[in-house]
Amino acid sequence: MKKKDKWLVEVFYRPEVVDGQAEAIKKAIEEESITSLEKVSISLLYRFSGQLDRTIVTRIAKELLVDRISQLYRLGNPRRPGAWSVQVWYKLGVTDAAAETTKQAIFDLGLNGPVEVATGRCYFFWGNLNKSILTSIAQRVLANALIEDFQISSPWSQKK
Amino acid sequence: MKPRVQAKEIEVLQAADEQLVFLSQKHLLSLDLVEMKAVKKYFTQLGRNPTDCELETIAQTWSEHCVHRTFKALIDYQEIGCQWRKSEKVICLKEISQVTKRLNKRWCLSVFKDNAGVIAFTGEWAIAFKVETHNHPSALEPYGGAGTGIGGVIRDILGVGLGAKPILNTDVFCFGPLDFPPEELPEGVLHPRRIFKGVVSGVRDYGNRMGIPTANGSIIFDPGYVYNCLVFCGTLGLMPADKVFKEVKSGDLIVVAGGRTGRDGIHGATFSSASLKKDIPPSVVQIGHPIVEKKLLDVLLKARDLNLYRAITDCGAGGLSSAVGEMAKGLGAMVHLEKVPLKYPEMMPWEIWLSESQERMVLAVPPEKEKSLISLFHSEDVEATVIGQFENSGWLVLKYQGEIVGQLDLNFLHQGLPKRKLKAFFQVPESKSVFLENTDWKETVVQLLCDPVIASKEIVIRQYDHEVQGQTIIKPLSGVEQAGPSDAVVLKPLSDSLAGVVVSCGINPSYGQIDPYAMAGCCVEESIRNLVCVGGDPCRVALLDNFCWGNTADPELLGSLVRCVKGCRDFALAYGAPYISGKDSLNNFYRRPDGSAISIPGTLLISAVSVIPDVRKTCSSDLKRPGNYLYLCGETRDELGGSRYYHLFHCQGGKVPIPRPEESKRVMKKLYQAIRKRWVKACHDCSEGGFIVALSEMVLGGTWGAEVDLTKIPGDNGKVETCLFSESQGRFIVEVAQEHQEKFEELFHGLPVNMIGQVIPESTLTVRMAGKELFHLSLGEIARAWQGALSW
Repeated sequence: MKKKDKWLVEVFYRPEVVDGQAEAIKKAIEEESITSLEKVSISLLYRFSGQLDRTIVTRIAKELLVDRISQLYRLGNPRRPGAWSVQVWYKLGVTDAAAETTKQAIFDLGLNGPVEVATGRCYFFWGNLNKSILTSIAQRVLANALIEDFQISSPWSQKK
Repeated sequence: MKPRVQAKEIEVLQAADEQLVFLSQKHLLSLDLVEMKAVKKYFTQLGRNPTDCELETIAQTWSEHCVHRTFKALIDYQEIGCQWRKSEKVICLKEISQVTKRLNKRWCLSVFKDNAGVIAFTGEWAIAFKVETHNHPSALEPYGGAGTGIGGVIRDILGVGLGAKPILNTDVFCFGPLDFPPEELPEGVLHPRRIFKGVVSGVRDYGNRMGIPTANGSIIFDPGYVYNCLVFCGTLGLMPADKVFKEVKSGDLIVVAGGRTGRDGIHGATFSSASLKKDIPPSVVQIGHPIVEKKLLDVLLKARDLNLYRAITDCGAGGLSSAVGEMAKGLGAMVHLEKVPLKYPEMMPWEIWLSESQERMVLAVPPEKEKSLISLFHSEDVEATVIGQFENSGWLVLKYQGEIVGQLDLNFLHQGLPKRKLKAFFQVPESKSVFLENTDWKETVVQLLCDPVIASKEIVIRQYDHEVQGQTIIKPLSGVEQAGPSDAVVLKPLSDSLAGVVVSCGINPSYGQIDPYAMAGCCVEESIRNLVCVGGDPCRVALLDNFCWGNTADPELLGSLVRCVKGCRDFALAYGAPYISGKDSLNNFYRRPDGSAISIPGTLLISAVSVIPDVRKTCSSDLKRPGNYLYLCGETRDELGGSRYYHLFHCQGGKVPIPRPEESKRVMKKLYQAIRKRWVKACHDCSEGGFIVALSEMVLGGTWGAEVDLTKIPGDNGKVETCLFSESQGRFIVEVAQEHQEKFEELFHGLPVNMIGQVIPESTLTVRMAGKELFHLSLGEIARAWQGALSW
């Protein structure tokens, strides 16, 4: 049996574009009396598994996932220098409507190989934060523990 | 080789009473001991234990959600007054349905027996209307819960008769206060602000993606909804008049169409019959997929017009078990569960049968039409699969990979539920005036305009597409700046006819906290009043009732429900408005870890639909022209009990408003005529906040000002607070052009209708008492208060 390749694609707004959803999340967090937050940004995540190579995944990202005017994409684990991140994914068995539509759209691109898709979100936070604050934010604003799992990663430093 | 997935036998024959209760709790069946004993008796007669499939099917079919066992129960009801007490036997469902029977309107085409109520529209077309609740799922997963709420009621409309085209969505929500202290919330309860945003986003995303306008609704905020929010979703549909009825015939194939079946939503029906508490399994929540439902909608209407099926229903609560079970009533059915398309393999047969995965419909297809139907569905990229056949056996037989996993007598399934006998009582409150020491009228009006119940809901309304399909004539916001609230929505659904449909609602749980009977009357009245404001015909109104109540195991709470039902009956009869559909959602209460229960305020939503011959003869609420006269129709009384004014001052009790249908009907009929004659330039009803809030909203919509004198108000006009803030029913503020003054006054001769002031060019609202100015408000002050209170 062939090994299944796994790919993670991150889609996010270009720096010059205002991300309304990130602004709304920042406001919702501030309403929870968390004031040490400086900046929020959000990426949409697509996890693919199947008989895929980098060329195919790049084509899917370019032609399907990204609005080229306002968004960018990158392959691999999402991270931003100096930012805490929280990834949110549906629990196993919960309907992932966006993933189903993506699967169908991949088929419409003419790529017929079996592909599994999952969608998630990654939130990046800058500010004077710690794991306990992030856990509270994740539970109260970002994820619903009934249907979603979240994973917190501490700030990443870019090597020079 | 694939592992065989088989049905499990559940031991009930040898189970003692406490084991039966434990079994019901363990499997989330929501059946009480009497019902479990009926199950045991049935299987004792058969000489075997039930399978998991059978037990789950019975629980779903008998659930409060599906069969309305409390509404069908015989209730020994006592009403207790100060010096009197009377007893009667009541069956709530009968009280409601007898209204329709007694009024016997020939334009009611299909009532209470299908997925929605259907009334005649034009000769060739009919209108279907249904309002559902999706409370428990929305409390746990607001976005998914509300989205599937609207998705579900859309499918009700697709599944009424042979299917109607959805043309309007409505939404009414009840939430806890948005500023509720988070530290007071128990673990597992989401903050009202999070629920509010999630619910609105869910309805927005599902409705907008389906291409259906969401254009009527209401939002209530009250601490009683902190633990259990209420989400009412409605859909109106247009259908050919010859497609109103359906009939399944023996030999028809059972076809499931649309989305695939997964584990999502398992136990939704029985879960909605229980209280909320910590540690709810995630499987009870469904996640919707509007794109799949949109494709399903489009192809179904094509198949309907090609007469490719004989009957249709949606897969809602209880999934296939409920849909197939209902359609097989009076016949029988054989289902092959392994044929149901699944999202993932190795689901248990009972899971396939019970799953409440969304976006699925079940059709009865004559065998000779199978090929055409399946090929049409596939051409539109929608899955449709034959999973069995209806047969004249009287049995529901479930097979999985050739083996029988369930076999139930349909007669037992649909008739075997033991009738409940319940006790209830209601203490009728004493009606006394309460006096408040308040003279700062201007500040009070500003504060009332900031009240979240009264304040502008523009931040919600603007998120919905209320224009899609291009049929919305009176929109949710009216006026040159689209800033004032509309009383109802008017649609023009047919391109070749001026005929219109008017839709409105009435809800006010605050009145119910004093007297549910008065609340019922006010909800019925408000829904009709709202219709009349925009030009709806008060003699051609059909109503829908939605009851949401708390723990009805408590005889006092059940008593308040019965009292409300009696109000629904009496006032609908008095206004001559039949009920065409309804739904109850009981057990909206939160069980604290210590076992005590917090119930929601008893809540009734009345939705109304009317048909008018010409959409050009309608009216909006914004003031139109300086110089026009302002009239107040209907009497103002000392009725401040349950008002927003009392709420502002934390004042309990008082005289709750009670409608006077005879007087109200006369005013409404004349107003309908005046609007049709185009004498009325603007019209708005007085509801929450009373006269002054209604007038402020008209000023805001029109951007003109107004001058009024309270001494001219018909009724008890001695006290300023009564004139400004009383919520007496049956009242309208009407703008009339000077040239129509005489004819208008002549039309209303003998009725409590007085000229109270005039529209003025300055953007100021000035209020006088016997000529002396009490206060004035600028348009800017009104706008800042009313539009700035709710934030996203």
